Amino acid sequence: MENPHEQAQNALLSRIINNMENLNESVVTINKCLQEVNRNNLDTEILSQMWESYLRNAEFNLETTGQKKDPL
Amino acid sequence: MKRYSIAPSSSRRKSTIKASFGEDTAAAREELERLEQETTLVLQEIDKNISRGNAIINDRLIPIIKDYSVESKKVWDNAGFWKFFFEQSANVELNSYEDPINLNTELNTITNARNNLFNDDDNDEEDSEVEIDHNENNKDIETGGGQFLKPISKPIHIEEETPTWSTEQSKVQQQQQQQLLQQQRQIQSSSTPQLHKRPSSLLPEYNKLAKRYDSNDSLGIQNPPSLTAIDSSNSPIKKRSSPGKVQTIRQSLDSYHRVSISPKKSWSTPAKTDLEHQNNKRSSMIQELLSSPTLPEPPVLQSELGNYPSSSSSSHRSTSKSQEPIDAARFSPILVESVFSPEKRKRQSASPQKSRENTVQRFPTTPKFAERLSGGGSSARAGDRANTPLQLRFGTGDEEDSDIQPPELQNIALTTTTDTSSDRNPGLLDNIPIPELEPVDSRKRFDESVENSAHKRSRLLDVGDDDDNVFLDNVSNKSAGSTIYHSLTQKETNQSRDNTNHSHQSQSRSLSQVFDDVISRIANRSATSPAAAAAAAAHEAPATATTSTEVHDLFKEVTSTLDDSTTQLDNTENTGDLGPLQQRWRNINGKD
Repeated sequence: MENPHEQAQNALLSRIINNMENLNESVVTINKCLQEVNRNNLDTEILSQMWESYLRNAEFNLETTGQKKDPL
Repeated sequence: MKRYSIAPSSSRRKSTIKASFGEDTAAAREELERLEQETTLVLQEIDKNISRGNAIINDRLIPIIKDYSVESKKVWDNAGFWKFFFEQSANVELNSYEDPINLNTELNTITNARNNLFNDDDNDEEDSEVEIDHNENNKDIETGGGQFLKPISKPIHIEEETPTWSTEQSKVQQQQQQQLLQQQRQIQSSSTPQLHKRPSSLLPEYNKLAKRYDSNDSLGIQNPPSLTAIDSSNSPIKKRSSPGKVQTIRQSLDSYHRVSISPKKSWSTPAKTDLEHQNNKRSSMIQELLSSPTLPEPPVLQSELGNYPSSSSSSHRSTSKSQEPIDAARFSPILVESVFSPEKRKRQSASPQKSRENTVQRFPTTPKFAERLSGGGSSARAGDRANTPLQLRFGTGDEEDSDIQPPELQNIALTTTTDTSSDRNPGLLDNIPIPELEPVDSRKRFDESVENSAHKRSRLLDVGDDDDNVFLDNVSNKSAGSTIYHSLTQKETNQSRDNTNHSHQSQSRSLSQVFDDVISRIANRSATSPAAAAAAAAHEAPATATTSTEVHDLFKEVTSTLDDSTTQLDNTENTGDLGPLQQRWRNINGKD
């Protein structure tokens, strides 16, 4: 009561704290969702890496054996 | 909810402005006021920004992430085949899993101390059961770190990756080394764990071998420090069929995304599996040979009641005494079932004879019509299937309906009579023992009984068409196997000329009957003159004629090509046109 500013600031701070708490929960939720997504995409990523390695190997082998042809 | 509040309760901001009393006080107070207001504004800004951020996250990000997860699942659904394709081509099994980082080892004291601060909060909040379980299990075991190498489907390349390491232990140690480096990197990067991305993962390079060691260049292949042994069997969450290579794709929060590349089971323990395979093959072949065919065998028609080849209860059936219980068994579905069920069990032990028994018992009362025709039960079954469409109806559903009882038949009286219905309906599930033609009444009873029988059978049977079946004989004929000749014109002629001989016949006469009549008449009336016979034939039924004209009339009647007028004409005019047939009848007459 002594310092009206202080009261206002305290009130604001409490609001800020509440909002931060909500924000934290939201971020955790997003984190979980993203983690789930990543877990589900693991196989897709493995597949993409396999394809990439295959392409690279094929490219290398074709160049090595001299069979690489120019694009149409 | 009470929580620890960090809001200052009563603290005041310390001001470093020094103000003296008097004039300075006023200035100080103004300054203070200004500052207080500024603080309030700042706090308001903060609050506003936080709430705005909160709103953005809740309103936009989460739905987008959820849509993304749905779409990425669709992507995987479409592309998942290729992973299987690669697995098959290399004959390996790729299992991806999340491996939680377990840092509670004696080696990672410093890193643990720092990481635990970061990870504990995450561990408390995360719900992933996988990680929690493994945090509990692997506290004293350090999970293997991963080489930051690409997952390679071909096992050959796996061996090439670590040319210097021949043992799994060394590989594991190398992984541990990298894990240490990872953690240090983790600490250095930021306070919050981030997704680790290999820098060279997406760069197109031509030399796979060269690329393989790129990410390791910084780490180097160093001598492994003395680390504790890793129990890799506990770490993977997903079950690994056989020990194989484990590669880490990335690090996510506090777990590693790993892929275990393991050869498929066919490669493991080849000696044992060969034996097993042989045994399996042998047993499967034996089972195939001995087991009953997939399609149930068609019912074996039996001519006699007692001719059952069954062995177990054959003592009853072979004798005539047993016919009564057999009949009862035939007509009572319960008894039939009791007969079936033990046979069915024996059937699984697979003897073809018993399977035959089963089929025999399933249709015990169907006569061995096919045997008589084709001369054998086994061959008859095939013949039956081909020849009897009715039977086919049952054959397809027999396997499923094996437990279903044959329809209840109420034709007990039929067995005593010389029935002839089976001649017409060999495929019916009727309890007709003898393939003889039936009188009309019994046949009607048959229809009723079949219609009233089990619906599962009745839907197969279409007894209502029997009346429309032109091949079925509605008239009782004493001679078995005789063909019935239907003639519409004959009906008319019969109506015009019918005498006592034809009066009892409704619409048609069998050809044999016609011949019988003719021959009998010829034999009886050898004395009558041809002229008188011809004249009589013109007006009366052909039964009165005895000469060739009469025969001619009869033939024409059978062929149903004559009108009344023409036959009369023919009788008088075409007597000499028969030719050899006339000669034949003259011979008969002469003989008579």
